[in-house]
Amino acid sequence: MAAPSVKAVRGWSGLALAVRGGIPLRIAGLSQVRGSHYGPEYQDPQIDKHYHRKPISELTEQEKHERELRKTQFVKAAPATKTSSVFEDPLVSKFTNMMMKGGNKVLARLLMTQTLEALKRKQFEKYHAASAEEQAMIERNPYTIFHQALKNCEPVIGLVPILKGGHFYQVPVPLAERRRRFLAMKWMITECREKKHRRTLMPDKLSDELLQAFHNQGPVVKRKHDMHKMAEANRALAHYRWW
Amino acid sequence: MQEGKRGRRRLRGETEGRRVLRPKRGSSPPPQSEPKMAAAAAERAHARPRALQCGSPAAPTTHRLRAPASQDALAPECLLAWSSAPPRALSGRLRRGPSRVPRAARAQAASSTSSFLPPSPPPLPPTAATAAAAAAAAAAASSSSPPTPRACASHNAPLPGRDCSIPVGCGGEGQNVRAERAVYGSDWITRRWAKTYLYLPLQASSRGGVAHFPPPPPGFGERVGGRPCAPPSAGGWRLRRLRVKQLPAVAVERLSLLQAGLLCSLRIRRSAAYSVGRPGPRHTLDHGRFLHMGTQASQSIAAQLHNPAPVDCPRAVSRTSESDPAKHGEQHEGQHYSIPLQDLKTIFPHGLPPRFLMQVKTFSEASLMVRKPALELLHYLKNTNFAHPAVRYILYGEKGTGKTLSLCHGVHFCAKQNWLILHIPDAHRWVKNCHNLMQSTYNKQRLDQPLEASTWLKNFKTSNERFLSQIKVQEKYVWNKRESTEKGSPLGEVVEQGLTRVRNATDAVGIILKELRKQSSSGTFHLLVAVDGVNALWGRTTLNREDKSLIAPEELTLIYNLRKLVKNDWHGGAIVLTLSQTGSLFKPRSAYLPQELLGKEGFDALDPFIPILVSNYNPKEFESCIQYYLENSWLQHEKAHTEEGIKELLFLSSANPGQLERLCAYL
Repeated sequence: MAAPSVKAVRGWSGLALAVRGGIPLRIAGLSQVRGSHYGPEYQDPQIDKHYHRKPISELTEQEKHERELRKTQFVKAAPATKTSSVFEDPLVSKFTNMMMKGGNKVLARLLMTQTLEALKRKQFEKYHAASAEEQAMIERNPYTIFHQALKNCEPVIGLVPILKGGHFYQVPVPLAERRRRFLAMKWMITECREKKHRRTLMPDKLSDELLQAFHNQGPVVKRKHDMHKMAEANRALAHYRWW
Repeated sequence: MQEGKRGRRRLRGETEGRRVLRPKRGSSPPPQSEPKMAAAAAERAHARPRALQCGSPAAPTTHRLRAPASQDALAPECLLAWSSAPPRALSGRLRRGPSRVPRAARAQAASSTSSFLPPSPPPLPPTAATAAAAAAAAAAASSSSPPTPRACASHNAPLPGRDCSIPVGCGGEGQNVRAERAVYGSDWITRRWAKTYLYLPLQASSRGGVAHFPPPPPGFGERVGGRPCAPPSAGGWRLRRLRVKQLPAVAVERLSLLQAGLLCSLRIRRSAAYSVGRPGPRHTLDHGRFLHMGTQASQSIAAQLHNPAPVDCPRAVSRTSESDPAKHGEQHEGQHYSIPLQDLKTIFPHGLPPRFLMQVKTFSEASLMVRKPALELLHYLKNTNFAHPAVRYILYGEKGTGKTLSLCHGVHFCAKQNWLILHIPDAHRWVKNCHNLMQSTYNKQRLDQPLEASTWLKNFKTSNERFLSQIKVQEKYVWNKRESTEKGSPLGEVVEQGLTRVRNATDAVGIILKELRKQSSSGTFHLLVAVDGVNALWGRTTLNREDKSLIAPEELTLIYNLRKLVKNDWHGGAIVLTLSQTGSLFKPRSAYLPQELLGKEGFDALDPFIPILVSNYNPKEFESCIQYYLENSWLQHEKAHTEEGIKELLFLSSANPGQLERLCAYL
């Protein structure tokens, strides 16, 4: 287990609290949950199998030096979900994790694979039923559909409640890339869980929603448009933002 | 009451400072007269929670194992051999950590190599490593080969600088690295081999000394690591990981003739893995590549090795235009033939696996691969002697290998030859999840299943329409006060009666089975009895009566009549059966052999039968399957078209047809 890099604060006594990056560690009664427990000296693990498969004879001097250096460095443990599989997709993994409930990754992954399969089968049916010209327009790759659908659901601008003068105002704010991806996935999952008939299975619901979002239709894209409209409506409050 | 030195009572048999040697489940402890080494080895073996039952003398009561005949000869050597085997694997199949070396090996290596120090010891020069290995090998008392990880001891320490996410032993570490990973623990191996051992004829002559095992069952995982008891000349074999760049010239030459990429491990290991007294495998495949192949595959690949004939290019033809099963032969092996969708509705109203049906719907075509077990079955069916009692053929194999589809291939053949098909799609459905059980009017002790019977009658009618008017019943059957079927009326009437009066459906089924069995010997028609999941007939049920008491299978009318049908006391046809663990009740997932699934009662009832093993895809079939998917654009992921992607598919599915299908479904 990696040694936590708790910087001992010298010169204090008794109630010394180790502080890292401005955030106090080891407050009595609290244990750290979020945030990396690795110190800055820990390197990220090298997952790429081609990096490791390169024979020594093909390495340049710099690469050799880099590898020798790595031998002396601390390395974080690779997460169990990261693989060197060629089929690995970080967005799919993230979506699976967001669908997961209670740590049941097996079920979440099963649902994800069934969703992709359902997408594929629906598109294949459409493909076989369509004429030759239409067949060129039909996308059968479930991963393309998945990525495009989530991209279509990403809002560009979001609203943030800012406290001013005792009141909270919804201020339009540009969203970071990861926040946008998160919101798209969150809306998609929430929509499928809450707004659909309870007897429908998640793969069916999700595949329907993803197909609609892929064509820029459906309730998730509508929610994105609503968000944009509200941001447009609150345009006047934009100067409340100070970052 | 005696007190020991430390003031506590000692248990009888307990020695100070050492663990108690307790026998494993049913087996007696090894005899005291063994040499010290074997005793120590035995202790180590027993100390492991999932130790082997290699040397267990008494017949274990587990359903999996039967004791080998001459156990004493095996026990010491086996224990010796297994004791120095590499450690058992982690619970996960894929290991990501520094390789684990047996404690003995590591200790020896540590003592012999002086540079074995954290944090970052310099890698040993090759000579030192091999010298250390040789020294360690010499030090080990066992005549069998020491495990090869010893040689790379320098890399096996948990170095803080090492990138623990990537296992040791990848390429780029040169000749020093001999790290082999035990992917499957030794106990798993023995269990597997023990299963084969008990089912196939015991090769008594080849036993004695180092354990000789018959070829491993299909789906046998690749095992890596120095197996000390590597039998040089045994019929058995193990898969190992092979490193391509360490091939001898001969093997490389052979490799170039064979399909690229996928076949490295099998070819090479067969030719080079065994040599007397050598430590472990000589060659290792690219890291992380496994090839789980069945016995048939190994034999075919072995044959190819010895006769290096030019093989088709990898992207070979995957389809054949021959749609008549009667004309299928060895030349069609591995190719897909399609069944017209119209025929599918008449011949297979039930009986096809659900995932296959989904595939038929998606591709708008029903393509079945022609495989060896099916060809074997067809050969037997073609040469049926209708004057002799019906022969029983049992298709058995691991989960997902294609037993049901092989059965369907046979059914298709018989349907084309105008046989009468009695196809029970899944016998497990008749012993579980049945509602509305009724007491039988014919026999008060038994129970009827009207819903299942009527469904089956409907499908039977669809598939055998033309026979229903030809065959006449030979007795009068009275259904109730008002309805009866006269002698000489066509069988269709019985079917109609069962369909209209659902109460009488079960009895109608019983009548049909009885009549067909009686009349098949007349020669007007040939009868094929195809039952999928026949082990349900002799298993347990999950059905209860109203008073919550369990129902035995023989108390169900359908099962009772079906049992009579699969007896070989009639002639004029054949009986093709499939064993299935998938829908079975109270059978472990790993059980696939007839003895395990049928139990004593079922095995005795079906004995004698002809077993047909259905195993995983061999390389040609795998390629053909991938090619079929590519032709249908089923593999949509852009990486799935690449060699790397296909290798990964092979690894993930281990050439298991069911797994491959499920994998390709979402890629």
